[in-house]
This record gives sequence, C-alpha cells and structure tokens, in this order.
Amino acid sequence: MAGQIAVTVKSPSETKGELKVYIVTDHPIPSPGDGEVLVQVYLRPVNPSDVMCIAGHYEGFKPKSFPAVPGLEGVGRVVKNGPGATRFPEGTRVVGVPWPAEGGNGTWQQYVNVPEGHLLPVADAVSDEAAAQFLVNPVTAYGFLEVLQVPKGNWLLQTAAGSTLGRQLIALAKHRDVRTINLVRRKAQVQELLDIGADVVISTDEVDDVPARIEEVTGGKLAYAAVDAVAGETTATVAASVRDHGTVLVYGALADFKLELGVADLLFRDVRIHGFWLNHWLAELGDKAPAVLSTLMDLLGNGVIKPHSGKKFPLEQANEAVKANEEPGRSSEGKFFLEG
Amino acid sequence: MVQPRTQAQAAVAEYNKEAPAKALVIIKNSEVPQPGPGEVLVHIYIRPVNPSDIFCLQGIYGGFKPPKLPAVPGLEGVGIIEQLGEGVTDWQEGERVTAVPWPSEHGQGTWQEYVCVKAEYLVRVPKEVSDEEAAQFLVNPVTAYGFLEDFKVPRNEYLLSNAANSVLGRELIQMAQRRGTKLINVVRRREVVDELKKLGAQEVICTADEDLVARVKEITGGRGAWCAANPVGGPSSKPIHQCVRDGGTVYIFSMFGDEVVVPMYDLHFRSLHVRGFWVSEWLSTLTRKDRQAALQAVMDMIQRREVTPPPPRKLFKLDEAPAAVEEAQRKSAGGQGKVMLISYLT
Repeated sequence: MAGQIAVTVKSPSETKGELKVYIVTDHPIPSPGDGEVLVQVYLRPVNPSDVMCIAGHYEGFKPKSFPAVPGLEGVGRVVKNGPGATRFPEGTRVVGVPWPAEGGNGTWQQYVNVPEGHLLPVADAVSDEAAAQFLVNPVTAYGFLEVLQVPKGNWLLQTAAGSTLGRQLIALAKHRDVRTINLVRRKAQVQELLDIGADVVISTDEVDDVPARIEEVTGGKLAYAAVDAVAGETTATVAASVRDHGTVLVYGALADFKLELGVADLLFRDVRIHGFWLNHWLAELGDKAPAVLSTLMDLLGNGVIKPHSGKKFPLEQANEAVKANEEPGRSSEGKFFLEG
Repeated sequence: MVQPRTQAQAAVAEYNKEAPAKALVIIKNSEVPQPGPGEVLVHIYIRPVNPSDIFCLQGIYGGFKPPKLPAVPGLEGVGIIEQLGEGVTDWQEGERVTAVPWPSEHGQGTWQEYVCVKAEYLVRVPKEVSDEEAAQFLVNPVTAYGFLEDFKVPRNEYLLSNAANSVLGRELIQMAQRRGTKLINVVRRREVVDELKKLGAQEVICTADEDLVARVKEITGGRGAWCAANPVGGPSSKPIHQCVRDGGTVYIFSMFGDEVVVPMYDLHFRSLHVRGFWVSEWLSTLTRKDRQAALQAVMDMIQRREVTPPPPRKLFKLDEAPAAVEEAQRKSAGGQGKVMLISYLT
C-alpha cells in the first residue's frame, strides 16, 4: 500500500506547549503483527485531553520517539488481521480500548495496528459519531458513578456541565435515578441543560453564593458527591457544597493546573478530594472491564448516552480544528471531529 | 471540700479574626454549676493556649459552636474532681483528671475554673504524669497517635511528617519509634535537624538546602511516601503532594490560614487523595472501647516517658488570658513549649 495521512506532533521540548501539529501525507502504513489487527480509522473527536497531548503534557501520551501521532479515541474498520488474530472479520466496525496512543501511535492517522484484545466491536445501533467518542467520555461518566455510588434520589454536583462529558453524565445519572446539580458559567447554557434532563442548573455568572443556593435546592442535605473539571478556585465552591464525608472527584484542570481551597471543609466536615483518571479506573477494573464496556456500548446503542457531535474537519485540517476548538463557548456546539 | 459560689472565666464575647486576644472578656463572678446525673464537677487549674484554641477565638474552628456568646473556649486541660453527680461510682472527689472531650463545643471549655463534664469522658492522670503534661494530652499526643492508628502505614513504608519540628511532630517521632513506623521528617531550618535526630528521628530533610522530592525518592526507593501529614498550606506545600506514592493520601491536620494547594498532575494522573485529619472526628469513628483503649495507650506512653510533652514556655493567670493569647501568637521557635493559663486554688 502507499503511504497514509497522519497528524504528528513534535517532542514537548520542541513544541514548548505550542498547539501545532504537522500533517504528513506519506506516513508508512504498518502490517499487523502477531495477534494484531490493522484498523482503518475514519472518524475521531478532538478532546481536551488530545489537545494536552499536542501541548506535550498528558500522562497517557508518552511516545519514546518523535514525531508521534496523537489521538486517544476514534472509530475504524478492520482491514487486515495479523497472524493469530481471528475474532473480527474484515470490515467490522471497531473501537480501541485503548488505542495505542500512549506509545505515540494514536488515532489521528488512517491506519493503526491494535492488539486484538484491545478492540471492541461496535453494535449496529451505534452511530459512527457515537462510536468515535466511546472511550473518553462515556466510560469516564460511568466511572464517576461507579466510584461515587450516589444513592438513588440523592444529588450529584458537577462543574463545566455544558461539556460533552457533562451532558452524558446528566443522562447517565438520570438513568440511574441520581439527581444532578450542574454548574455552568453562562446563563445561556441553563435552559439547554434543563431541556436534556438536568435537575438543577446554576449559572455562576448569576448566582454569587453557590453553596447557599445548593443548600436551598437540596433542602439542606447538600450534594452527596461531586465531580469537578475546573479545579483552580472552583474546587473550593464544590467542596463547600457537598455533604459531610462527601467525595469530590477532580478530573480536569480547565481553569488551572492546581486547585486551591480552604482547609475547613476538609478538616471539620471530612470532605475528601480525589483525582479520577480513566486509565487508572480501567486498569483497576481488570477483568470486570469487558462487562462494563459492553454495558456502555448498549447505553450508546439505545440512546441513553448520546454523543454531542459538532463540526467535522478533514484529517489534513487538524490544525484548523485544534485552533477552532480553543474558541470559548464552543462546548454548546458539540465535539469537533477529524474525518477521513 | 468548700466550694466557692462563683468562678472566673475567660470567655469569647465576640469572635475576632484579626486580633483574637480581643475576642476575650474576663467574667469574674460567674456561677459555679452543679453536676447533673452522670456528671462530675472538675476544678480545672492548668490549660494550654493551642493554635486551635486561638481559632476558636477567631470563630473559625469547627469544634467550637456555642449556641450563644459569651461562651468559654479551651479544648484541653487538667484538674481535680470537686463533686460527683448522681450515679457516678467509678470516680472519687480529689482525683486528678483530664477529659476527652471537655464540653468545649457547646461553649463550656476549659478556660474557666469549674466545668461539669460527663464522667464517661474522664481520663485518669497517673501520678508520674505532671500537671503540665496532662494539660496538653488531647490536641497533640492523641492526634499523633491517631495518625499512627488511622493511616495504617505498612512496615517498610514511610509516613512523611511536614513541619516536623512542632510539638506534635516531635511527639510523633517518639511514638513512631515505639511502634516501628518509619517517618520522613521535613523541616525548614538546618539548626533543628540534629535536635530531631537526638529525639530518635531517622530521616530528616531540611528544605532550606535539600531537594525534598529527590530526597524522598531516594529514601523510598522511588516509591514515594506511603502518605503525608501536612499542617502547612500555601504554595510551599505543593511538593508534599509530589512526594506521596501513586494513590496515596495527603492528610491536612491543621487549620492553616493559607489555602490547600494541590497540583493537578499528582491529583489526576497519580490518583492522589487529599483529606483532613481531625482528632475529634477520628475519635468519634471508634467504638467506646477502642476510644478508651487509645486514650489509655497515650496516657501510658506519657507515664513511661516514651512521649515527653514539653514544659510550658510561659505561664499566665487565667484572668490574663488576652495577654497569654498574644504571647502564644508570637512566633516561637518550634518545639518550645506552650503558653499555659493557670488557676490554682490558693
């Protein structure tokens, strides 16, 4: 076969955090080795974590050599089975759990070799757009609920609720009879989220005392637990809004690479802060992982979890896609994709 | 025993964050209460001025929630049983006792001469333990003991103790030795390193001239500390999080003014936990039997001089409490004893 189109990044010391990718049009197409499957990837989202890979500071992207190919998730079709790989007929739609992005061989290219054991077939009922964003968000949302074990009827608090993950968490929580309190930054997002099933939406540009409002809407109980994507000083607000002994999972750093909060909630109310990283949670699941992934594929197939799909860019226009992705207020538009 | 009808109290009239000494008012002719059923009346005659007591004056301490002011603060102290309430059979008048807890939460703390307390909260003070030692039993020694019980540091792993030169840090060194728990002690000043080693500290890192993260890696064979106990906030506490193993916990145990600063890298990618450790909360998670066993174990260690709370650095009379608070706030060289308030019967 001739070469393929691949989006590559330079090493962190070369990029110095600059968000720039390099389009290569004659990247070699590999042959599948023992137990490997050659997958033609054709649709992949642009996630915040992908952007962090490009900027050179994502723990799940540690290529041994550069240039390397980013891209943590996507959907593709089996084109060739290597020796000993027999599960998936050619043409099967598959997703990687995970894709080999960590070593620098991610989905932002057209052909990837994946160990057969890391592939999951995509059910017919699941659209390409949903399959392309199967791993990072749905599995994370599910992971939150599994870790936090919010009892039915109790409240889960989340920040940056307008994001794709935020929306999926609203849907999944509802499916499990967990009520959500959703913090957003802009008033315009409030009705949108109420329309998709959020129980309470609080816009921080309208409400000054968020913990007081949360105390009000929960009848004094406060949130059972919370997930926080923002960090910075937002975590303080979140910690003040959860019950005594409640857990705040901090999973993103949209505001800042550190979080700051006062001691009182931790010391006197035993509020706990814990990080959540998808890779760790999946590893901890061990042999329970297939059942979880299968459940998630079903939830995507029957529309409980919906993708939030936005504009598609050709793979060669990855730079434009990344740039456009950084525009504020973009989350209402859905995930950008790279296709082809 | 002749009982005066009135007593002196150092009470919080109005919380004061900037100048906690000004929160206090001395009430001279307060009524001496009668012990109810199951209670005893204790004449308290010596109690320390702890940072947490000062937080009470500032109105920011979770364990001081009096329904109204003025209210009497004071989390610990020692005294003599003056009078037994109805049904109290395990105790006698004249016994020297401390209590865990005193009813400080409700505004009946130890900064007064007489306190009624439930007999079930009393802890007998052995004769080998001095008044000054018994007076500072709960806040530091029991907290240090709580670390060692609650954190469950495995045999060959390390508990990182930040600001290890404090009274609590030193008591922790003494206790950890007895127990066989390994500590990494972190201090800011080179001068105190030898003192801590003399106390029995094995590993002491001085952040003034050593690379904390590199040294911890070295000591722990790259694993990081099992967990950390951290009483210091602000940006300088960031490296503490980098020193803890993947999945480990940083325990905040002091009400520091600065914020907790947690680096996202460690929280997110290394699955760190950050939570508080409050001795009152820990004690409340124990069964009554286990709680009494813990308190007894700590008192035994003090009795056997395995743990040596330091003598007070300055004594004030109870009615000089505002001056005592100001003295306590003066930056003392760490490891120096506490300022104490006395009210011995003359």
